Amino acid sequence: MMRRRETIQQALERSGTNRRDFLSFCGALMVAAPAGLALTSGSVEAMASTLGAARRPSVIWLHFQDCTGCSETLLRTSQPDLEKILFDVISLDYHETLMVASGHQAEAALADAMRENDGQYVLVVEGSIPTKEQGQYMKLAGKPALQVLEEVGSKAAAVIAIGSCASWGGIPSSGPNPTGAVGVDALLKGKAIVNIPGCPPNPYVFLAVVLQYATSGTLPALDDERRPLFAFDRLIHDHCPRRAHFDAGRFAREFGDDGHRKGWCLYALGCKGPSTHAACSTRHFNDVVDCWPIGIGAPCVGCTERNVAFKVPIFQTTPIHGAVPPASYPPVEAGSGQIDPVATGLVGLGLGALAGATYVAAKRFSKQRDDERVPDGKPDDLDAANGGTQR
Amino acid sequence: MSTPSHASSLPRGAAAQSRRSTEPAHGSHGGGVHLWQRGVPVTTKLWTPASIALALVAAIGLAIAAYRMTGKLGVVSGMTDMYAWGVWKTFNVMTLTALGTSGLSVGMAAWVFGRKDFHIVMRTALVMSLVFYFAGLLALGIDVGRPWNFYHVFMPWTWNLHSSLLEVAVCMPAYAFVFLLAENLPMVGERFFYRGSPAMRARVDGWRKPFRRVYPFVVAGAYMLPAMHQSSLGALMLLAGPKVHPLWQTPALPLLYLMQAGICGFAFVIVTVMLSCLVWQRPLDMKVIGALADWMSRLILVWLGVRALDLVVRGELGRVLTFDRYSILFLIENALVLIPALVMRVERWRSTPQLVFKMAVATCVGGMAYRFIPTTVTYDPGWQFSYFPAVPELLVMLGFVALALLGFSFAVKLFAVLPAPYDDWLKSPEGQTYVRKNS
Repeated sequence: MMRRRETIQQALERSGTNRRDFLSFCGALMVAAPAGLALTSGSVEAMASTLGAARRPSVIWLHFQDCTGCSETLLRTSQPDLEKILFDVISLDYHETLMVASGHQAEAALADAMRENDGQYVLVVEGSIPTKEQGQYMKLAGKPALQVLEEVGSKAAAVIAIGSCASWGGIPSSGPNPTGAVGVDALLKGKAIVNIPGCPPNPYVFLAVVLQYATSGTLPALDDERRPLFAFDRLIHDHCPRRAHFDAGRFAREFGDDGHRKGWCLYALGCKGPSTHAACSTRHFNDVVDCWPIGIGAPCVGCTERNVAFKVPIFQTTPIHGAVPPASYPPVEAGSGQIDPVATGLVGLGLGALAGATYVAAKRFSKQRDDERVPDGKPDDLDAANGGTQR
Repeated sequence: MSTPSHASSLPRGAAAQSRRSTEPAHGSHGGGVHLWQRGVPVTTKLWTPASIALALVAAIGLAIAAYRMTGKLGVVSGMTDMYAWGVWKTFNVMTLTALGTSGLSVGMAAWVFGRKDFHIVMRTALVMSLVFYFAGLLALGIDVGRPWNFYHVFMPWTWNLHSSLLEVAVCMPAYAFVFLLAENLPMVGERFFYRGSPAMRARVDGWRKPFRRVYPFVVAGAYMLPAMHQSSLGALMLLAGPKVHPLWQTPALPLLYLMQAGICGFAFVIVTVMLSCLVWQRPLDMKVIGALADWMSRLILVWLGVRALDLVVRGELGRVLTFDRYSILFLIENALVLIPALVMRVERWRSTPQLVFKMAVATCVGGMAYRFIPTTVTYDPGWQFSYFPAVPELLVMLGFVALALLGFSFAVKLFAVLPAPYDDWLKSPEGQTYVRKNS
């Protein structure tokens, strides 16, 4: 109960963080957090006072059918330091991969956190939930995943579905979907759910949502797919660093070809950027510049779209919507005209007929100077009587 | 063709006596008496085997053109997205309207430079201009990718003022529909005046005065507009930049295109008038024809001078004698106009009918080649794009030419277009019959 009343500032002071470090932490957070987030619109001091006064939210993180990639990408954030966030900003009470405890001790931690923060904690779900055969494809401490989600989810204040699997099923749900895998929003009806899709998702989007909830108790504005608008309102294509190549019609045609090596547009290789809403093109991964699929020459697979990734073949080009000029560009290859023998014959015949007719016509004109008689070719009697024709 | 050589069946002496003297001398050809006096209609039937054949070819072309409207251009033509310069543009518009510039070139010589002896062939030139311009516009109408957007021409606020095609798209129809039609109006009015009822005669007479008042402006516009769009056709190729071979691609292209249109105009009037005299059995007036040939040859020499100067200034003269295919094409094309120009400098030769005809034909071919080559043979859109016309495309092209020729043959039968010795014709049995039937 003591932890619930503790503010973030108090927790930081307790762990030996001074004001200067806290301000630089807030500054790093402002730089790292996605644009458009209400929390980061003020000054560093304003943010520090808001953040410092906020109480640390209890966070319970459940793993279902996943690859732990979402957790892995979160671990690869260093600005600000993850350990500060995990230990001082939030209270991560249960995370199977990160927690030291195991077995009964771990399950006791889950039960404690749920009891202490009943209706107050934030539930983060990673991975899809199997529903076929009463959910027997996955069990957690002897209980089917379905039941665990129901128990933990029903008492949560808010649910964050991190990754494409938790958002709508992801890879486990792709055909033939043997386990009947679904996302969180198909099971927890009537809950405040935020989907942060991606395979893996961008960790800063997750941090931003958690921080907003911690400081103001609100969740960000969402789109139709429950994705936070601040990070998913635009197409990758609209802010792609390779867009100039697309507009100029310079496309990589094969992996490793000349265009691919020169960093040309990957659209022809099946890049789904034109139909994928995500911030990847402006906020890269692993704190490494240009570390994101298109940046390293791999076409976008559209992992943040329910109907693209794992549904549309990777190398299939995606339709371009809206009036973008390149869609009307002619194909780069082909277009050779065929020399048609019939057409050639027709031209030859026409030219021949013209030349012949001209020759015949020319023959019928007089070769005599100032001969103004009717051009005829046949001398008649009157002509002969009038001085003759010398044709 | 009912009875050939009526006119010539008159005694030569009568023909010579009936010549009336014209204006004082203009150069070596202006003075003396002229055989041709005024336009006289052809009195053969409207539908002859030849005109029926032309109508059939035109019908086939128009049918295919109508079929093209059911789909995209690729349905009937060999054009692709990458190579959109098909024969409809390059031949029917670029090349044939050059022949149709006779109304401009002969007209300017007659009205602006005061060669009144050229007025006798003006109607022939104007009818030729009219039929070739309308045939060209028809071709343009089916050649544009979205013909249903054509009405924007009438809405100036929707124009793209940065397009050099706009000049052609607006100017050409304006010239054909307003100025060319107006220029051709007198001979239509004349038909109604002489063959209509007394009431019609009075009405036509009433229109004559206001028409005479606006006619100078019509004439002025009729020289300004074609001068604009004939040079703009050259400017279009200027936009193609390095796609056109450097022997042809030059900043002087608009000027050269315009001048070449003038040359073609003179040459084609000579060919048309002489062929008409051959087909419809009329005597030749070598004074007029020789004078036209003289103008033609002078213009060619100036044109060749400009072209040579342009090559020197641009430093491309060396390409002329490399004897690759472009160089050979260039030499042939220029020889086709240079030889006529030189031959027609000799006065004796330009009063010899057969030689004048041959040289005028050669000039037409050379001039058409110059207008055709930069848009096709030496036009290389790059990569591996190429083009060859499809059979239906050629039939449409042919159909429009046939339509133009049919229009010409109808015009000379309905109106007093082709020049003839009028006095002799009136006295001839043919003229007597015509006057009796229509009075």
